[in-house]
Order: sequence, then C-alpha cells, then structure tokens
Amino acid sequence: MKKIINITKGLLVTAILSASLISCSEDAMDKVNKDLNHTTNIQAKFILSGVLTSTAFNIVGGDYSTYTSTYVEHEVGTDNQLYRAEHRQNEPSAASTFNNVWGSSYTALRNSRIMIDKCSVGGAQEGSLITKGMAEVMAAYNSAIIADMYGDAPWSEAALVNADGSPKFMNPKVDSQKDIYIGVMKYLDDAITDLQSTTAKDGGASGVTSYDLMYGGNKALWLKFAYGLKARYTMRLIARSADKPGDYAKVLDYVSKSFVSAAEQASFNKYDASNLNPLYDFYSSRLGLAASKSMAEKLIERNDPRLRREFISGKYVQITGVADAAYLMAENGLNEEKKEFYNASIFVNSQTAPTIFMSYHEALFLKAEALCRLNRSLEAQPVLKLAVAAAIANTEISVAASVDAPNGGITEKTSAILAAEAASYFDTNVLPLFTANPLKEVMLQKYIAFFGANGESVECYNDIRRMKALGENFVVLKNPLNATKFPLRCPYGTDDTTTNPNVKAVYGDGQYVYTVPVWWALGAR
Amino acid sequence: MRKLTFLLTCLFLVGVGLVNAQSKSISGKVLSAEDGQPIIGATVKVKGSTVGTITNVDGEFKISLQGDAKNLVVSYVGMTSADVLAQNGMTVKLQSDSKLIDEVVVTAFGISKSKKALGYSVQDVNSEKLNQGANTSLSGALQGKVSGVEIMPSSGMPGASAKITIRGSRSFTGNNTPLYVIDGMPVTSTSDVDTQNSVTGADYANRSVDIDPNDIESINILKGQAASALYGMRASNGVIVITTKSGKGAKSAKPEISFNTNLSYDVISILPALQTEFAQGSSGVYNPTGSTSWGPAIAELANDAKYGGNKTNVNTTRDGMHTGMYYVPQRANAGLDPWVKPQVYNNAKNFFNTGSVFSNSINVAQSFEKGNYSFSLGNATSKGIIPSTGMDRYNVKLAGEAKLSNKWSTGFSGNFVTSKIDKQSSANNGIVATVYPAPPSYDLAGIPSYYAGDPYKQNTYRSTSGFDGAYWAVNNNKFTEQSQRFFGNAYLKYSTKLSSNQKLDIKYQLGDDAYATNYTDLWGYGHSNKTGEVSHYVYTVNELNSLLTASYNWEINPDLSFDALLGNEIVESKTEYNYAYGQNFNFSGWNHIDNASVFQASNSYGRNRTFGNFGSLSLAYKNMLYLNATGRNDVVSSMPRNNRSFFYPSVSLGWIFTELEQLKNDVVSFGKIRVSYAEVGQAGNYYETYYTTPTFGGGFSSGTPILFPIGSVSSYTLNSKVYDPKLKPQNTKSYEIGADLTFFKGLVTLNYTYSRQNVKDQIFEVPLSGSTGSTSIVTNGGSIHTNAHEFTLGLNPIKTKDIKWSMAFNFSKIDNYVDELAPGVNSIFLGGFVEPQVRAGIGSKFPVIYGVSYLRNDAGQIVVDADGLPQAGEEKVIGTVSPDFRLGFNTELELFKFKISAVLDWKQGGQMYSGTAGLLDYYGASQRSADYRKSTGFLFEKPAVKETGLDANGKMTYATNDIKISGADAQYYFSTLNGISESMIYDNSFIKLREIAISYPVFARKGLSVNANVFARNLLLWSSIDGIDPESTQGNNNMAGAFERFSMPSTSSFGFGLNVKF
Repeated sequence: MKKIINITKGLLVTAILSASLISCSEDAMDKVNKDLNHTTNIQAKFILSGVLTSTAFNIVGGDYSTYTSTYVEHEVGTDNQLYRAEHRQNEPSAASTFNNVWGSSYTALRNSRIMIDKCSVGGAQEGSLITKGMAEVMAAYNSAIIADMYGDAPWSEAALVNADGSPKFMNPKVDSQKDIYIGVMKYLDDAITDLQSTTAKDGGASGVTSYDLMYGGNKALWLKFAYGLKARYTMRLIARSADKPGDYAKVLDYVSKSFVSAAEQASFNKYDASNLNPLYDFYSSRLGLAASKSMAEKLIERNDPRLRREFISGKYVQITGVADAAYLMAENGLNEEKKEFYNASIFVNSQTAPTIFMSYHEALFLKAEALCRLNRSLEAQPVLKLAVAAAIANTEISVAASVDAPNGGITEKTSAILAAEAASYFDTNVLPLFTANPLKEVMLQKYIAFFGANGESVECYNDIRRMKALGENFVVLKNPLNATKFPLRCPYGTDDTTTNPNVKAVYGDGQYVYTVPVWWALGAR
Repeated sequence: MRKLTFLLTCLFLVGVGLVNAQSKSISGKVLSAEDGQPIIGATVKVKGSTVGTITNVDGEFKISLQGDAKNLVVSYVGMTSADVLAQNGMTVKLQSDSKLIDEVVVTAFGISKSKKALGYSVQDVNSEKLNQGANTSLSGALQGKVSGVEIMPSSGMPGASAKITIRGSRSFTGNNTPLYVIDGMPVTSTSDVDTQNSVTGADYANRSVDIDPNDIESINILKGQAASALYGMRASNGVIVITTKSGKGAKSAKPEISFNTNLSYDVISILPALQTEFAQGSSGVYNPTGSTSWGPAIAELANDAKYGGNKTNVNTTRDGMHTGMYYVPQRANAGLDPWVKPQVYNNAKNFFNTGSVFSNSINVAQSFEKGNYSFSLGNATSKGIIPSTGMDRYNVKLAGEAKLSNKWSTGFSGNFVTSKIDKQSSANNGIVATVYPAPPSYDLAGIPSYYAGDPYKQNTYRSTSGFDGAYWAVNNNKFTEQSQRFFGNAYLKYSTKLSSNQKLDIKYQLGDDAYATNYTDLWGYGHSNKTGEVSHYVYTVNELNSLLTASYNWEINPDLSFDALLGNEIVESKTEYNYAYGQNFNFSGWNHIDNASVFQASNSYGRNRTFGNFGSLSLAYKNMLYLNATGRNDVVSSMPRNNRSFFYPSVSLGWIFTELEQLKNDVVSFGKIRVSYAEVGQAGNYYETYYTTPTFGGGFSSGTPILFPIGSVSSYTLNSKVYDPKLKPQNTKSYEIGADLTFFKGLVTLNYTYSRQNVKDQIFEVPLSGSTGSTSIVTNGGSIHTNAHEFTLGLNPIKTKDIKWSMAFNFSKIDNYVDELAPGVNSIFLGGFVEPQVRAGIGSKFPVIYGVSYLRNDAGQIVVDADGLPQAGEEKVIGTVSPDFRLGFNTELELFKFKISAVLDWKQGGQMYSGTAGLLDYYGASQRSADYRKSTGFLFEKPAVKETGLDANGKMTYATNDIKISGADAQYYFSTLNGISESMIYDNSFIKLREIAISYPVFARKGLSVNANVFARNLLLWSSIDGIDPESTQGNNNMAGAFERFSMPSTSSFGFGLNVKF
C-alpha cells in the first residue's frame, strides 16, 4: 500500500513539475501568443504610399469612375451591374453598389488622419511637417470625394482610431456636406502652411522620398496640388456662394499658384504590366462598358479629331470614324445587354495610363470658366486654347498606352493628334462655338477632356451636377431615363446602412438618389 | 456490439489484479449461451476475495483458489453475471442481458461507461453500419445515421468539404464543428483554409478527409455540452469519439487478416433541364460569341443574315454559298472547316466523365495473452466526374498494447496518412459556369478549346474575361492539395487496487498530430485572357497533447459506488504558413512559378497553448440513480492578458425508473429519465492591432490588379480587422432533458432529448460601420440560442432465425435563433457576393440569405411595373437556410444470409440561393426559358399586384397583377429577374435515398469467410429545385448549405465489394 502511494506521489510530482516547466503563467502565455508576423507601429511614409495607391486605384479610378462614367455618358454600361446602372435598375440606388469604395474612401481618410497624428505635436514623428502637409492634402481630397459622392455623410466622428487601433466612434454621426467642406478647406489651409514650413524635420529615414509615389517627396509640387484643389473646391461650392465674383477671383488666384504644366499635375503614374490601370482592370475582368453614342455625337458636332482616336471595335481595332464599317456606338439607356458587341472606348485598354487626382488641363479649365463667368471671355480664350491643347496631349498619352500596351495592345489605324493639329482644331472648330457661347464651350471642352482612362469622369459628374444647380444645361445628356432617374448622388454603403443607425436613417430605401441633389447642388443634404 | 463491449471492458478491467498464492488452480472456459462462442475478456473472480482474472482470446481462464473459497463470479458487460461452483475444466455459459440498453460507450477521455449510467444523450454508430455503403468519406458515411447532427456536404467531388454541426451553431463566424477524438487523442478535423466569401476558386477539404472509415471500429457522438464538458473549450461543439480497430477483437491467438475491396462508379446525380431548340445569340439574333442562348431557332441558323450559308454575307462572299449550313468562327479559329449544318449538342452530358472509386484495405490483428496489435493499410483512389479531378489517399496504422506486469501496461497507436486531391474551380469562375449555359447550338466538346497553333489562347463559345472555357480550364488550371500526416499516441498506465473495493488507475498519454498540407492554385497562361498566376502555400501544423489522468473507483457498498477522475491536459500547437505567389508568366507552355514576372511571398508562424485541469465525480446508487459532476479549468494563450483562465462546470443525473420494483413491467422493459446542465466556452484569437500590407482588387477584378511592393516601395495600412483588448470567452450554457425507453424487451426503443443552449458574449468579427475606416472588430457581442429536439426510434419487428428486420428513425429539429448581435449591428456577413450574401440576422434562424428583394407595397405585396415585370426592392433577408427538421431512416433486413440495408434522408424546409437555376434562365439555356419564350404570353409567376392609380387621399391603389408578358419579352423578363436575387431563392426540402446495400456471405468456414456486397449511393432524389442537388453548395465555412452558383455537382455511385477474413 505504501509503495503504491509512493509511486503515485512520484508520478504526480513529475507531472506537476513538467507542467509548471512549460507553465501557464501570464508571462509565458504572453510569449506564446506574441504576434511574430506583424508590426504594430510604422512610419508615416509607409502609410502614404498605400493612401496614394488606394486613392488612385480604388477611389478616383475605381467604382466611382466606372459608374459615373455611365451617368455622364462618357461610357455606356452594357453588361450586368453596369448595364443595370445604365438602365437605372437597382444599382444606382442600392447600398451594395458603392459599398467597396465607400469603405476604401474612409480607410484612406483614416490612414491620412493617422499620418497627421503621427506628425503632429505629441506624435511619434512630431515635426515632420512636410509629410503632415501631404497627409492633410490627402485627407482633404478623400473628405471632398466623400462629400461630393454622398452629400451629408459621417466625417467628424468617422475614420478616427484610438491608440489601440480600435475606432473612436463605432457609429459615426452624419455631418452636413457643408461642414465637411469647411473641414476640407481647413485641411488644405493647414497643408499650405505645413508644406511651406521652414522648420520641418522630415529628413533622413523619415523623409518620404520614393514613398511619395506621386511627386517623389517634392513639397513644392504638393503645394501646387493643394492650391489646385482650393481652386477646384471653391468652384464646386459656387452655387452656394454669397460672393460669386469674389470666389471667381479666388479661383483665379489659386490657379495661379497651381500647376504650370502637365508635368506638375497630380498624377499617379505607376501602372505597368502587372499593376493595372483601374479602368483596364475593370474592363478586362468584366467587359461591361461600351462606346457612348452621345459622347461620339459631341465629337462629331465639333468635327473633333479625337473621334478618330478614341474608339475601338470589339476586335480591338481603332475605329477611324463614322464611316468605319465597324462603327457601332451603344445608344445611351437604350442599348442591349451585350458584351464586346458595340464599339468600346480606346481607354478601356489603356493599361498604363495614369490616374490623375487633378490635371493641368483641369486647372486651365477652372481658370477659363472663372474668367468666362466674370465676363472676361477675351482673356478666357487663350486659356481655353491651352486647356484644349493640354487635354488632347493628355488623351494621346492614354491612346498610346492602349496601343502600346504590355498585356496586348489595340490595332492603331490613325495618326496621333499633334500640337499643330490641336491648335488648328481650336482655331477652326472650337473658336466659333466659343464665340457664340464662351462658357458653354469651356464646359463642353472640359467634359470632352475628362473622357479617358484617368478617372476624371468623377470630376465631370461633379461639374454636371453643379451646372444643373446653376440652371445651365450646356452638356446635353441623351439617356431618356434621365427624365425621371438621373442619379444625383451615390447611395451610402451597405456597411453603414446595415450597421450604423445614423446612416441607415438617412439612406431609407435609397430612392433619394434620384430626387435630392447634394447640398452644393442646392439640395437639402 | 459484443466486439465493442469487449474492447471497452478490456480497457476498463485490465486493472483487476492477479494475486499469486499457494493454492488450488482451476482452469475453465467461458462461452456465450446464445451462440456457444467463447467470450473474451470476461471477468472471473473468486467470490468473496480480491482474486480475479479475465478470459483469454479463446475464452479460457486460469485462477487460483485459496483457503475455503469455492465459488467463482463470472461477469461480462451486457451479460448476466453467473455465480458458479469452481471446478477444474469447467465451462461457464453466460446469458445475454435482455436489456439491450446496457451497452458500454466511450465518453470523454476514453472513459467507458455503461450507457445506462449516463445523464446525457450520446449516440453510437458501429463499423458495419458506417461502412455498409462503402463511402470513403467519413462525413458521407455518417449521413442519416444519427440524430441531432447536421451534415452538409458541398458536392460529390473527391475530397469535397463537408460541414458537420451538432445541435446547431454556437458561433456566427467561428468554428461550429465538433472535436474529433481518435483513440483517446483530439485531432484536427477542420480545414486550414477557409473558402471565405466562397464565390470563386476551388473548395478546400476538411482535415477529417484523412480518416479512413474502414479502420473505424465505432463512433460515438457526444452531442451535448454535458457529455463533452470535460474536454473544455475545444469541445463546446460536441465531440466525435472514434475508436479504431485495435486487435482486441481478434478472436483467436493466430493473426486475423481481413481484406476489403470496393469498386464503385460515379455519375452526375442530376442535370438541369436544358433547352435544345434555340441557338446562341440575343433577341432572336445569332451571335457566335454571346454568352446567352436567346438566338434564333437552331434550325434557322443557315438563314442568319451574317453567318447563314443560305444568305449573301461577308462569309458566303468569301467562301461561297453553303446551303443549309452556317459559319462558326470558333471552328475557323481552331483550324476546322467553319461551315457546319445546324445541330443540337448535349454539352452538359458530354462534359462529365464517369468517375470511379477504388478502395482497398487490409487489416492484420492479433491478440496475445499479454497484449494485442493491429496493423492496417488502406488506399482509396478516386477519379471525379469532372476531368482532371480526383483523390488518392493512403492510410497506414499500427496500434498495440502490452501488459508489462500486473500493474503496468503500455500501448501506442500511430497513423500515417498521405493524400492528394485534385480539384477544380467553382462558382463565379467555376468549371460548370461554362458548361451548363453552353448554347445547345455550340459543339463544346467537338471544337477545340484553343486556337489552332496556340494551345493557350482560349476558344470557346463566349468571351473568357473572368471565365475560362471548361475544356481549356481542365487542361490548364490546376488546384491541388497534398498532405502528409502523422497522428498517434503512446501511453503508460498504472493500475492498482487500493483495497478490496477501491481501485486506482493512473495513465499518462502523450500524443502528436503533425501534418503538412501543400496547396497549389494554378491559373494557366491564357486564363481570363491574361498570362496566368500561381500560388503555392503550405500549412505545417504540429499539435502536441499531453494528458495525465488518475481515476479512482470505490465500491462503497453493494448499492453505492463512487468514481472520481482528476486530470491535466496540455495542448500546444504550432502552425507555420508559407506562401509564394507568382503572376504573369513570361511565356506560355511553362506554367511554373519560376516563369512568373511578379512575385509575392509571405510567412507566418504562430503558437497556441491550452492548459487544462479537470475533475469528475460520479455516484451510482443501486443501478438506478447516476449522478455525475465535472469541472474544468482552461488557461488559453490566445486571449488577452489576465483574461485567460476559465472554469466550466457540468452536472448530470440519470434515473432508471424501471429499477423500482413497483415500476417493473413487461411493456416498458427499460426506462430512464436523464437531465443535465453544463457550461462551456470558446476562446477567441486576440492580437494587438497591427499593420499589414494593403491588398487591392475591387469587387470587379478578376485577378490581383495591384501588388505591393510597387518597384521597391512597400506600404502598410492599419489592418481592417481590429481586436478588442477586453475580449473574454464566449459562454454556452446548456441543459438537456431526455428519456430512453425500451419496450417489449427490445422490440421498440425510443430515445428523446430536448436541449436548450444559450450562447452569450459570442466572439466574432463584429462588422464595423465602413465610415470608421475599419471593417471589423473581434469582440464579444451577441447571443444565439438553440432549441433541439432529437428522437431516435428503433424497431425490431421481425427477429427470427432466418429473417431479421430492424429499422431506425433519427429525427432532429434544431432551431437556432440569433437573439442579438453587437449593438447597432443587425446582420453580419458570412459569405457570398456584394449581393446576395449569407448572413446572420437578428430574430432570424441562423443563417439567412440577404439580398435584393422584390419591390413590395406597404401591404407586403410584390408590385409589378406597367409591363408586368417585377421590380427590385430593398436589400433584406430573402431566405432562411435552416430546415424545419431532418429525418434519417435506416433499415436492415436479413433474409437468410442476405443482408439488405438502406438509408433514406429527408430534409424539410429551409431555403437556398440557387444562382445556377436563375442564371440558366437568364442565359436562355434552361428549358423553362425556352417554354416561356414560345408561349404567347405569361404572367410573372409569384402572386403580385399592379398599380392602378391614386385614391382620393393620394395613396396608391393596387389590383391583382394580370399584365401578361409576351413570349418575345422573355429575355428581358429573365434579365429583370436576374437583378432581383429573391427570384433565385428556392425551397430546399428534399428526400434522398443515400445508401442501399446488399451483402451476402459467399463463403463462411472456420478460418475463412468471404462476404460480397453491392451498393449504391445517392440513388434517388426528390427536391423542389429542378435539376440541382440541393447538397451541392458553396463554402466550407458557416455559409455551407445556403448558396449555390455553378457549384461542383453531386454524384450517384454504384459499386460492389468483397470482404475476406481469414
């Protein structure tokens, strides 16, 4: 009996000893659970490269652009979701449609704010004011897109994190579009100050350099970008302006401090054989877009040489013009659901065309518009000429990207539009129309210039809504469904309409997208 | 049954001591009174002493009588004990205990208990029943055979995943599958890779695929938390206790060899009804590259303006008139004569092969006086019905036990498994997505799938952006899983008697489950018109299990016995993951990562430790009242600091009321009421919120459009998933109450259990408002409860010498309701598309289908537009997945020597999303679409109303929809329906004849027996979805069973086998 007990004791002691050796103490368990596979802290520059890429690929060039390009008739939706958007079925009002990009927009805003915090007083990179300025520009940019696309939206409580990474507010409240824009302007003003700082401490390892995928860390160009955006957003709010002439003058002032050439424009130019232009990525995955008849008609109207450059057949051969045997435009809102049946825009294959956050030609168009609105059309004329030339040169870059494409190019049938032809086009075809109605031609040329692979359809969509608010109908859209169902905005994303009661309440059944313009387009919210 | 009870008795009684003394030696034999066969392992005790022994493999025993001892007590589980006078050369015949219920089952930690002593519900399946249909998949072999267990297979493909849940779900997004315990050691059964949204790519097998059903002796299912509470956190979803063949069953001292071989053929179980009248095209016009079949009548193709050989057009101008023929551009692409006569092709039928499964297993088992061993070799080779798919599995097992001395014994069990599964993709970029909808006018099998001279350039009936042609895909895309696995354990046991009525067993067991699974997903050069991509990833998992138990038994007096168990379990697992990705092959013909032009790689390594201490106390009174209480404390590494230690209790009581003299009767020969309560939890995985490299790809991308680093520039973003530092374990409180009744001495048996589980503080990824900038937070939130009713009814109506007929019904009604999600969250995503999705929604049964509904008016009626077409409404819950009940029916008829068995399974209620059914209508490929098209006019099928104008109050008025849609608008009609996911929700009730088998002993002599059997599986199906097996669905996670869209098809199997024993 005793022996048994002894053996038992021995066994138990051994077991307990071995157990305590591998231990279950908190420290031991912390060690076991240590996350070896991730980092919990990172310098701002590593965040910046992602914010720029996401803003380019997901936000500016992504779903906003894909859908709004059909609303503004740069393209025609011809399959599945885009077909249904074209035909104003469920997509324009459904919360699921923009949900992915809704999330991307707020993530970009969150990451921009994290960078700002890091570089602000008390942050890990306190004093890195140049990086902070860049982050402020990106915060302004993404905030403005949220406001433009959704109107009133979560903002002041949105995209904010605690030190442990959890959100500060689980259900951010909805701010008015007006308040968001006040915030946008504040971000830009701060950025303008920070980017000109003489005491900035961004050098060495914390300097952004190559992580700034847009400007390689050039603060002067970021400053020009910030001024360009000031011009864009001042013009954006013009329908709500109490002092329109004063604001036009501000636009002119801001433009004067912005880009002086296409080389300076805010352009994300990192696409190649495997990092794909978002329009090409969409089209090569889904084939859901076709060439827009109303777009072609606008080119035909002004005998625009871009007509011979901007379309391709289903066989990826350039369409030379109306006389081309394969010429077949999709009729806006009346097309059939067919892939690779109609012509397509040449831009769907522009595999390496950059995504442009704000172009040089946009700055010029803003200047021309402000001058026209100030009744200084004589001064506007040379600006418009520069703008058209810049726009055509930009178009040719995207056409070249489609012809000479790493994953298979299109067959080019016509010659490129060079500067001389662009100038003569302006003198012969544009000038008479400009003379007849300067503002109208400025806006139409801007509309044509924004057609492409650079993600500028979103800004075009903003222009169209702004002009509607001003009672101007310069750009005539042909989709017959617009009579009752022109999408005036994007519906909120499902992630909030299902999770955030504040957003759920304002979303309702989503039909407001057809009836309520956004605040800056003189709507209620 | 005897084999099983024997095995367990051995396990339990090896501790009966042998005591040497100077005395008279008696030898004898113990036989079964019923069949005269020797009883192995019967306990023989000298009455009134501690001296005892057990019988050997021939039923023989030797025992010493001391002093004036005269009588022996011979006992064996399931038989009535005999008190006999000791005589040398004696033969003792034991009578069967008439109460069939008195079986022994293995409960937690290999503790075998008499089934009647349990205060909770368990159900076992023996080897014969499990393998009657010769299913090489364990989950398939279990279907319909147990109550309270839901088995959702994903398809009939070799190695296809299957989801098993017991009494519903306890976690929204986490693991709901039971713990598998093989020969006393928990092993991994879940999949390494979650299919996530489950709408693209190939399925991932569960690791339970490594188990060879042929090597299983018995399965016991611990359904409730009270049954599994001792296992702690890992067992909150129930436990499947598997006992493999160990050699203890070997009846003689010489090796017993059994050999099993089965060959079966698989065919697709069901095909959708496809139209054979209309050609490829749209709006009645032929379009040779369109994805739809809304073209002209096939017979009219020769008259097509652009492609008809009867008409003057580009093609006839070039090639000359071709009367009665038409031009097929894909034939030209492939270098064939482009002109053909219009013809109808049965593309779907042509595509599928006849699959096969060839399985062999050999088992050598031997039992010695001081031990036993079992050695098994098994192989199953399957070829799937989809070309290029299949599975190869080899199993080896060696197990043995040895008695070292009277008190010490040792044993081990080792399994090695290697398997290779060849899969194909499913759903959105799946194989059948270009098979079922292939236009009947297109010769999918006959026209090469690639351009002449360029085998990588796809040539099929439609564009291949996002899709691959099916024939091209099976030749160029490859999805494989290769796994090597070892699992096994060794133990050392010390047993002793502390006194004449007290016994102590101490056992230490060390086990290991180690495997590496290599995955390859290869999209060949030319995939989706691009240049291909490949990923290789490996999971290397090692789980060490250390288990120390001490069990103590005290027969306090003849009426009262006491059992106690104390134990410690340490589980430490290590997982290493390596990932390599290559994109854009430089040139065609070499689909290899070394030929890629863009690369990405990743590695991760993680550890997890659970430290558990547990104890159990049992009291048994007069074979009538059984009380059991357990407690377990777990400390887990994966939770936040100071929130790692948790205690879970359970208590159960069983009362055999028929033991009361007053209640003994001939009708109810056995009756037990049982009641139990248990708590058990599940831990989460907590990390500090971290940064990760951002990934790109919108909902539309077919590949990975942007990859960091860009040049040499990397990026990091705060992970979209964040962790709550206050995470605590979720808790399941459950109680169950039930009864086990036997009527007329076993003619009828009935078991009923009601259980209720309340799960609080669920750990899940609570979706965050997108406007927070993050997508989810891992936190506690929400609760779910389950009410489950389980019935098993067994009938043995005929039991004569030559005819025996038995049947069993397994009924389960499991209602799993979501009570609460995190504050502000109404539903959470489990899988699917941007829309429709599978979700968990408050107030609904778990899970639900969520998506675009029909537009309805305030009265809830569907409102059609002026053309009679339904309209898209809001996104909401459009279907409930979980069924009203399931009923499995098993029967076995023995006619002379023939044994016929069948399993029928009925699922009633529940809904699923069937994208295939909806899309085949949309594509104009279904017979339905052709019927609508040919009709003069039709009404939208569902009850609906139309708008009739405004009333005096300005409110819309409605009337019953009577707006007929013309047949010519059928295409537009189905296109409209395609935008409304609710139109693709179907009732998911079905009845399936799962198994039918006949076996016959061809030859049976001493020393050799040959058994032949024929079987068929999934022979018949009655379901409400036309042409689609409701059990072929997407996902190996919690969305399983809810979502179908060009999913891999199910199969019917027919086969035969031989079983030789010598």
